[in-house]
Amino acid sequence: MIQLKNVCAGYEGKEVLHNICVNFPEGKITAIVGPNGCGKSTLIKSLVRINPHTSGEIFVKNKNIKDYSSKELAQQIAYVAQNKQIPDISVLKMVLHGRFPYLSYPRRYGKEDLEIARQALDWAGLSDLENELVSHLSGGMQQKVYIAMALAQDSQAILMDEPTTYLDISHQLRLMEMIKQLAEKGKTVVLVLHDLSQAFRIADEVIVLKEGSALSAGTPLQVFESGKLEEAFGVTIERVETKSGWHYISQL
Amino acid sequence: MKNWKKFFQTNIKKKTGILFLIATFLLLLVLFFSLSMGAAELSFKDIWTAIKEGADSGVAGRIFWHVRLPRTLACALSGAALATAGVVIQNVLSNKLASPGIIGVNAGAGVAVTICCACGAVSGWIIAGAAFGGALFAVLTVALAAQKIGASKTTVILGGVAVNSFLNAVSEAISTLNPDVGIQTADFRVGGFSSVAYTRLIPAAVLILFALLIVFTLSNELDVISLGEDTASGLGLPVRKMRTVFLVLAALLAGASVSFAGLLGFVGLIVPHMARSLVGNESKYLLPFSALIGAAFVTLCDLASRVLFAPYEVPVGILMSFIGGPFFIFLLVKRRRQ
Repeated sequence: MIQLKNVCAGYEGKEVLHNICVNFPEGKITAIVGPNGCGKSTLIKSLVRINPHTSGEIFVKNKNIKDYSSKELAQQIAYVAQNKQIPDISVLKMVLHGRFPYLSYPRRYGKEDLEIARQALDWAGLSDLENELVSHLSGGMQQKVYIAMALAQDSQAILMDEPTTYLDISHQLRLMEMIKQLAEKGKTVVLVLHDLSQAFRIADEVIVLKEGSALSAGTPLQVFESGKLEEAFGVTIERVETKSGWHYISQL
Repeated sequence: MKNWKKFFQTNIKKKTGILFLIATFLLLLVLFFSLSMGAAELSFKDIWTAIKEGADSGVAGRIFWHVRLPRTLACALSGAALATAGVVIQNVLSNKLASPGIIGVNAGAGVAVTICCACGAVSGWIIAGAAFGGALFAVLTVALAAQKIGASKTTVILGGVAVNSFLNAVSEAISTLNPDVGIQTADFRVGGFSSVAYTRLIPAAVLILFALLIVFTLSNELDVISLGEDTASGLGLPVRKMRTVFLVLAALLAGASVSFAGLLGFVGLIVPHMARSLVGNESKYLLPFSALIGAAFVTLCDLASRVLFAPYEVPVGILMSFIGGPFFIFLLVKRRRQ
């Protein structure tokens, strides 16, 4: 679905990513992991042109992203940012904004948009809260609202930057279930995650970044066996089998 | 009070219509009193006769057409323009303490108008255009500085206050060095409507109505931009372009208003807050509602400034500062508590 070929990207004139060549396949969850400052957020921001790439090529559905208009790109890729403003608007209105890329001037949401937004709310279990103000919800619920908005965007790919930050463990697990459901719907899901254990548990594919370069990419087992995680983080990773599947435990 | 607020915010669609009706009725009532009350009272019959027969229908007709109507229209237009500009600036800068008066937008327009007076420019179009240019310069300076240095919400305000002080100092310097300009702009610097003339009002009114129309059609864009740069970009909004469009429109509204009303402070701060507490933060309702109550608020303040101390008239800018200063402190305290 999304292919990067020798991509270099950065911000404020500084190159953060160097010659990245990776694919994000359809219907799969890809987790991007790496130490702080390695370029994880820059990588997914380059996919939606928030940090435009300076060289190389990015293809979305075999079309160069430079050939997409802002609206067309938003119809293909939804992006849930790490730093989010929490607006004083209703949950329904917020999710309706997911339909924004489909409207032309003067943008007014129609019946079909409302229906899609309500379906997204229903899927996220937020139907009863549609008139609540987003700012009055807990952090976990606010994150769900953002994900429902991304779903209403009806794009093939959904990118999420640190979706579990500031969430308690119960909300984290619920959110991970929602993310799995998105992949089951056939969406291309790309996550930036700090929690290695969580990333390896949920992802079909893992990309390890270090200092702006992709050290390893593949299934969690392939990445684990490559030994590149230790190289990236400078820690020891153990793979342990539990009742709920394989878990990855890191220690110094 | 909290229950009412919650009630309005959660049932906003059903209740907004009623609030709009009430606001429209209040505006019409205030406009009528503004046309009617003053040194010479005009009855409803006098006003109706003046409308039917024009300015030549006697003393009442001349007062209506040459004094009360331009003044009332000026109040309504500047109130609507400054309140709408306040909403736009607050949303674009993601800061509810921002307003055209506080971050130097009005002061920028003020410098431009003062320079026009010093150069002897009298054309309404030139003055309105220059005021727009000055306002645009100020708002872009603040916005660019905020963007370049990644300023926090408080720093944006402090930067705006600095720009405001600097531009006011420029105006004062010109007025001091050129006493004629000082005399010409004395009312202007305080803000008021006692000397409004059609020659200045009409060009500004055209700009204001044009900008209001455009802003109202961009309500969804304004909401999306309020979600932050990353989220708005992810939704396909060309953020930088739209931010510039909004700041240009805010400058147009504030600049055009300043060109005939002078440096009216706090309207762009007080009114958006009143509107937010009643109709919530969705721009589709907030923008037109702010314009409505902004028009009513300024007209009411002007009426009070004429009537309360009759036969003397207190410039409405002074009255607004009396209300606005404490209100700003109230907002700071409220934010601190939150």
